[in-house]
Amino acid sequence: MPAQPFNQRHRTVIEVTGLQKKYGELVAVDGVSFRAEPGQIFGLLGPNGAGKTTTIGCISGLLEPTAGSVRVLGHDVVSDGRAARQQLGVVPQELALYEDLSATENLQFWGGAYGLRGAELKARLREVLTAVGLLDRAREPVKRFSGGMKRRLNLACGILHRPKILLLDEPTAGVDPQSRMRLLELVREEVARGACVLYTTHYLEEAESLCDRLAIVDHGKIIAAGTLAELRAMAGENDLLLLNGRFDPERARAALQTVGGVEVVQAGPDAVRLASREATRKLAEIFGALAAGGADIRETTLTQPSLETLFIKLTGRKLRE
Amino acid sequence: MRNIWFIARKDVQYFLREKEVLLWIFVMPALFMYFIGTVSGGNSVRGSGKDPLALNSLTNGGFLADELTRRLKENDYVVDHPPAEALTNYERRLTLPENFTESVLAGTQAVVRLERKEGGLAQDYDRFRIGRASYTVLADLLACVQAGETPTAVAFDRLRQMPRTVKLDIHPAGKRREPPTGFQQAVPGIMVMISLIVMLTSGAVSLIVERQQGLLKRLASAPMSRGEVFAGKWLGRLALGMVQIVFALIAGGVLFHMNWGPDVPFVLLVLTAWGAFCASFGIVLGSVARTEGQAIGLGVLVSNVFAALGGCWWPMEIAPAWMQAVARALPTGWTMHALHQLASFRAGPTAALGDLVLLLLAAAVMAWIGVRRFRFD
Ligand SMILES: Nc1ncnc2c1ncn2[C@@H]1O[C@H](COP(=O)(O)OP(=O)(O)OP(=O)(O)O)[C@@H](O)[C@H]1O
Ligand SMILES: [Mg+2]
Repeated sequence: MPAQPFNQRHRTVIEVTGLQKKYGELVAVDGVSFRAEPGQIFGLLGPNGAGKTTTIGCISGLLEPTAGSVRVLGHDVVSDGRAARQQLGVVPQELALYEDLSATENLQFWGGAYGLRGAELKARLREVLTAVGLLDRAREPVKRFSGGMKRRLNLACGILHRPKILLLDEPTAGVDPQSRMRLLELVREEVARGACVLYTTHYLEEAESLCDRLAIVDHGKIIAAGTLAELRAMAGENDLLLLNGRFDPERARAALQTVGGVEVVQAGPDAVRLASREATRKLAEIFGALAAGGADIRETTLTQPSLETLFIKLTGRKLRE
Repeated sequence: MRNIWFIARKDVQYFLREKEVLLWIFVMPALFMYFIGTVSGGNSVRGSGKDPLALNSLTNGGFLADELTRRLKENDYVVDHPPAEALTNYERRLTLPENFTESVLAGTQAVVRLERKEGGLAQDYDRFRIGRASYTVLADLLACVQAGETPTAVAFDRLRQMPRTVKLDIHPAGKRREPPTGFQQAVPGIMVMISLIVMLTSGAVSLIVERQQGLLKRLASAPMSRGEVFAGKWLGRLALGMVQIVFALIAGGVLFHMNWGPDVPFVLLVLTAWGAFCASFGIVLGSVARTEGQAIGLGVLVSNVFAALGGCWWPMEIAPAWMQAVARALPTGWTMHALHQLASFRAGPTAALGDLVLLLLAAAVMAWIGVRRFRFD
């Protein structure tokens, strides 16, 4: 077989098929399938408890899937785990650092755990410490670091051995905007050198600005997937209108039938959600109809199409509620 | 294999950074050995020195009191007759009743009273020697009477000139059979106890901390097998234990003149098996205990119970039979038994082979439990 660059041999570097993970009765991941490719950032976007960390755990070999399969560069993570894990860089959601050790010693440990030794390790140490801006604090014990500094080191430990695949589980949680910029910068650099990044977050802005492709997960299921453009199109051209106040849900629904081009997403006793094209122009008409239907409107929120509107449209909830 | 070494090496480095671990490995054993070894007899081999004894002979001791004094001297006592107010300065005091000779010859019971300041291991030995002195006086008295003589100082003198028909000649049978005391007991005892404490508590706590901080979880996603992680953790703990054991071997010899006997390589072999058991035990505790506090509490408790019942605190050779039976069922008991056989009794490797086999078995069983219980999160 002629030698081929790995990009061509394995266009797909992460292949998740029908993945399911149960904790007793609870189905944390419920039939998730997706593929991720080199040089791309694949985002898993979802609220707390959606199953993002569990999915990453199944890919990294920490958790054994209840059903389905995960392949990393063609290696099954269960039957051929070591070969699969050799290609991975994992940055866990919870910081996993030796607090008593210095940044350098932590990097030496995690680099060593992936087989880096000697001069190669030393060279990479400097590079990575510079990249995460910790070179001048490298000898201090980690317990003296700020939360943002620890996050940066946490990421550094995962990229030290230049993995072909990076699993980043909310790497920017609890980090100030400056540190966040720096972290995202680093992630983009990894992608530029050809790595495939799986990135979980519940920050919409982050997902929108960073990810090439996205899957929106909720209750362990992928409820929408595609490129950013595809997902925006799914959200439709509709604006979302949230009305808070006091409603009779049945009468409100009936009243809104009379307004053309308005779709009722959700109607409850104290909130009604609508989707409509160019909702601003129809506001007067909508208010009129609802008032006739006995409603008392106290607050109005208009949202233009985005991943947020897509999520609301699909689940009836906001992403962070 | 590379991964196992890597984890073991990192673990040892990590352990040796901790001040508490250093304290327990290098300082505490020496201190404990010094104190316990000193109060339990130091380096004095029993019977070699002359022990001072205050003889409080009340009025009219008579010639039998002098005879008794002479026999006491033969039994390695320095016999003093201090004035009453100085009596309390003596560790051993022997009081003879008034008119001692007179009452013995009259056939009334004369009670000789021994008082010792402290109990302890040498107490039996005093009782034995003083008993021997008294009985030989009594025996000569009977011999006098039987020979039809009136017992007097002169008659006793004459008796002494005569050849003895029966002579009890006691020689050690080559190997020392007295239970080890002083440093000979304290050095191996403390070494075994503290190595168990360190490997149980530090071994378990570090594992719990690594688990709580998600470090083991992160390690689970590194390209090494669970078996390698376990083996690395185990080897690291064994190495830590061996650092402590070898230090105690040397410190015991250099500081306290502990004699490890002629079979030092076999001593080391037994102690390695002991270390293997402790290393596995530490991992089991670190997998079973939920919190650091639990691990420390349980570790210290188990260590002390095992140490006491296994013969680390006192030689099992002087303990009651039931306790000896318990010790025969404990790894501490096997280790101490083997060490006494090798170092104190010089009984050679064959006498300690059974203990070694048992220790290796126990280490294997513990390791098996450890593998089954090992958790990454
Ligand atoms: N070890 C576990 N045992 C039982 N249930 C678990 C365990 N780990 C996770 N779960 C449950 O599985 C579901 C998915 O959790 P997961 O951590 O994957 O969510 P997530 O998307 O990463 O959430 P977050 O954004 O809060 O990190 C949750 O309902 C959680 O309670
Ligand atoms: Mg999570």
